[in-house]
Amino acid sequence: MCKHYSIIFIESYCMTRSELILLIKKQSSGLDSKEVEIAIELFFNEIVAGLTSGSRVELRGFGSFSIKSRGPRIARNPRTGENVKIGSRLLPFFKAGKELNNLINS
Amino acid sequence: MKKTITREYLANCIKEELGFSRSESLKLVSLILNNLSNSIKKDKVLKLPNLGTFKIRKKNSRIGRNPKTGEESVITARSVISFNASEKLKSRLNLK
Repeated sequence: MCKHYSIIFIESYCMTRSELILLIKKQSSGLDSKEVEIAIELFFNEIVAGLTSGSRVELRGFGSFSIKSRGPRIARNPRTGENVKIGSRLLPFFKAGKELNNLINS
Repeated sequence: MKKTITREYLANCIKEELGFSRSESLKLVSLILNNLSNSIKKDKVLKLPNLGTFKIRKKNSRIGRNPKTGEESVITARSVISFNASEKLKSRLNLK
């Protein structure tokens, strides 16, 4: 008997913005695509703008973004072994909210 | 200025831009967030342009300890969400 194996690489799928617009348009009552598009654009822009200006973003049920500061450190270039100074940096962090955590664990 | 960005704040932005009512705008914000949450659950990954990538990671069960009482207990296997900020956001944060 000949066993036939086929290897299929399933690329992880990711929602696009136009799909998001379509979904929301369907679920909302009577909004047109343009309005939904503007709202989503605004939604993301405000979050990014808020984070870049150092604000905390707290979306109940979804999660919160906060900015943490990483102190300066001396790193090493792995290839040359040279010491490189890295100044203090700001990094955004995300913590999932209760409802989102419950959703992915259900 | 350091204010917290909340659902309320985002709804207000939508309200001013599109002239929706307060409740309509809040509903729209919830709708966006719900769809994002569902998409994370369904696809295990969610990329948001300019913001970053969310991924679901599985954690095995392990034995933990209650730090207060020192009691050992099993922490069940669970999924957690990891977030990787986009390079764009990181560089924008550190412009100054």
